[in-house]
Amino acid sequence: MKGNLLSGKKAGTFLLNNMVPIMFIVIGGIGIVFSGFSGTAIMNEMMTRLSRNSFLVISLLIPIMAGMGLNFGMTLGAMAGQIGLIFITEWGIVGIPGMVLAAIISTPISILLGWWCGKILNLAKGREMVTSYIIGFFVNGIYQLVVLFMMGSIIPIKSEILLPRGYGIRNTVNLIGIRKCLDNLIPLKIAGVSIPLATFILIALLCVFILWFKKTKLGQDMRAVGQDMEVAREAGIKVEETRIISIIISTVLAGYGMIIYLQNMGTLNTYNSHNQIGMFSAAALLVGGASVDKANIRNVFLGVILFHLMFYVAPYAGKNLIGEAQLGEYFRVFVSYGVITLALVMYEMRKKREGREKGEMLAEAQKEAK
Amino acid sequence: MNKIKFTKSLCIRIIAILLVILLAVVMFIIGKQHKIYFDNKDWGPYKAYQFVEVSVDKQDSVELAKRDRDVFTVVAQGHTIHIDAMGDEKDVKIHIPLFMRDVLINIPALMNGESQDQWMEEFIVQTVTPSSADETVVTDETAGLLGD
Repeated sequence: MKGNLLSGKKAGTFLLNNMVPIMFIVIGGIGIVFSGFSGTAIMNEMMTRLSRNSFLVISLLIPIMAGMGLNFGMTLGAMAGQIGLIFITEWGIVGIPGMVLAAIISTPISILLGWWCGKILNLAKGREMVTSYIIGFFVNGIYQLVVLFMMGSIIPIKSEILLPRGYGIRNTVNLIGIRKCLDNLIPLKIAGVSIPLATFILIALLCVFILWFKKTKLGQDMRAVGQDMEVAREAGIKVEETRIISIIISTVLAGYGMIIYLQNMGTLNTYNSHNQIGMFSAAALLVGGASVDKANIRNVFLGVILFHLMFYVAPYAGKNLIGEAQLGEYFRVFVSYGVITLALVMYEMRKKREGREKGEMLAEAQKEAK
Repeated sequence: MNKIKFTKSLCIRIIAILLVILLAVVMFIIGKQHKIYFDNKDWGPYKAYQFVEVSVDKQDSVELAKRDRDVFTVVAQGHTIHIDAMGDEKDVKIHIPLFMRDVLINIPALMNGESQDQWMEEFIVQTVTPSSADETVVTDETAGLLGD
């Protein structure tokens, strides 16, 4: 009887902890049935989206490890990546060298922005997520100032990416020079499914880096800071510095992730590409079963697959079910915001539940001691 | 005033930065895209060919009739041009200056043994942008929701 109760409680805890992925598996399953897509089409699309988004989502892992929650400030890195892409387009650098050069250009910008963002987040401890979210909007303003007014007037830009008025970059920049250059570097097709092997190798290397990084002194320090800042400080860890480094790494990786993302897309939407990146990456990670304080590589891949499966099938399922594709469009945006809300609420609930359970255990222990 | 101490870690950092800059320069050079325009037109005393076949590196060849112009897109600076002008064949190695984006090559001048600075020149595409047709820049997707 007690065993049954225990296993029931375990199942309940498992369901509660994995509510979001389970929900998405169910939605995805229903979506696949009603969308009418073939298995090959879905696999092809998932491979593309997995290679396109994974790097960006992985960039969120390190700040979570350092207890800073979801780094919505990753849009800063995305903007740095875009600036790199604008320059290589202007200079006419194509292919893999173009991508590498864009990454090199984005790195110092990302480091600078990440350092500044980390400094501010240290002043807003406990409110890192909302602060980084707002910093993203603020830096977007600076990005617009640079790209819309300085490029062409102060920063020399002469090619056709310039607006006809003579300064500012066009709404869309054609990245034909680097389009799918990484994805098609090592072409591989299995059972009609195209696999961008080179991109996956790069993502795998990043995963290995993350796993290695966790075992380094700095990685251990980040985990200690993430668990308890005061204890970490007592242990001689430079808490503020460690937190800043975690944001810098995340921002730099986000910049590289954005370059990989845009080489797959082939078009840069100058003023809007980066806007939703933070939101969608965070949502994908949460869909994979991560929480604000705990995330791993498994959550990244599961999340990207489930989140983008829903993104892909929902409009078609909506169209086939009620003849309205718009419903699916609405549904996917609604769900991405909804899932973040749900994850945040569940995080708070779990924290309260754990606190309550600890209190109960303490009371029980005190009772037994008497 | 504090003197900078050249410790081992500082030296490694400086070397790393220099290597990254070097890598950026190499990427710039090997990834630079150029367009090579070919003209089969009269040039000074030399008359245009009735028909000429041109290829660059291992790209598919193009055929140019009299007064024709065609273009090849290439990456990096060193290239081999193969020209077949009605049986008169010639292979020429060219080096496009790094900061010259597009170049124009006159085939009759090249075939008649003129120097490279004579038959190759920078080609700047002239575009006319009507000032009235300026593009509206959309910086905020939600701007429409706020109304006028």
